[in-house]
Amino acid sequence: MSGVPVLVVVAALIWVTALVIVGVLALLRGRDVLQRLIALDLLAVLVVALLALLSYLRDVPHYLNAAVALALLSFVATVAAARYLATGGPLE
Amino acid sequence: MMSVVLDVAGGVLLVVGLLLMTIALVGVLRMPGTYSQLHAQGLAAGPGVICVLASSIATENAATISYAAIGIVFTVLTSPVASHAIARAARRRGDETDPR
Amino acid sequence: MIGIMLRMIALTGLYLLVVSSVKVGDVAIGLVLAALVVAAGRRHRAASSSAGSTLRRLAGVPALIGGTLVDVVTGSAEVIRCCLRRPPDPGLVRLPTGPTSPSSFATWGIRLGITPNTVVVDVDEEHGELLVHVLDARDPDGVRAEQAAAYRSRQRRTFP
Repeated sequence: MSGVPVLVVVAALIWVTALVIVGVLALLRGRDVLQRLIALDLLAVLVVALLALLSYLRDVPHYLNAAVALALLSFVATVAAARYLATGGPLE
Repeated sequence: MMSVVLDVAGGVLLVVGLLLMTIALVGVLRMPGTYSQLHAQGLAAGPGVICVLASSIATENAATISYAAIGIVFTVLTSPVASHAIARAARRRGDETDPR
Repeated sequence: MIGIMLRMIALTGLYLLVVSSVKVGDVAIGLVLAALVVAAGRRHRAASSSAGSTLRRLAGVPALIGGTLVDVVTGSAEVIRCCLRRPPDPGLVRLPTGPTSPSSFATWGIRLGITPNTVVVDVDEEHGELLVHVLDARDPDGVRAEQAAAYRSRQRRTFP
């Protein structure tokens, strides 16, 4: 593959995987449902980066389609959850 | 020559993007309040992802670069809306700090 | 007229990016779809502007994008400093936006939202005010002056 050396991309993949594990810890550590929502959004961002790096490593452009779809899904999910929480829950 | 320049630019963008994501994760773990965590999350969701996607210029593959460009456009449009939605939910849920 | 052309070109470009090919058939399908979308959107948009004002607004686009890029870099530097040390004094600031239209508010929101050091918390369309959270709210008047200067130099020509 032409582009960034394979070693750099592999190291970046390992690093982002470690970040995902730490992100799960942040998700568990959130004090509030909104802080967990923020951590979940951050996890989606990290997975998008993971898919982009995989696409660079294998030279398959279609992994980036999955990354864009995941970003849009996580956007819709975040906005829906935030709107739901803003109205004060199901009993209101 | 051109290829080397693109490779170096892509590598630098990749490293910058990963650094921004790492710092954002540290910020989310360390910051006390919901609003402050949103700042750190915005660092990863905006500039971080844009840098990682922009490093696709090093692959010199037209399809990869065009998909990454779509990703950048959607990120620029959606990441402010997502963080605004979370901030508004935090305000509605009773974080009544006085505005200055 | 120029506005319609620009919208069609932008939409066709987006379509071509999605299908990632520049074959004649794809360009034709993209143009037809863009024309349909623009025609559907025109029904809701009453005021049409003259060619001169469209060109003047277009001239402000590079300043808008470049200035926002500068803001993103400086804002990221501030957030990085706050992530690694303690944030100085996070707080909410009221930000008057002046004369308001929906497109102006949308541009304000995207500009402030993509820069990591400001988060838009609430929008008050009646009074033309934004409620913004910043990490360093020790000097709220300074924040307001800074954002007003950014509005004048970047946004006012394109989305007043």
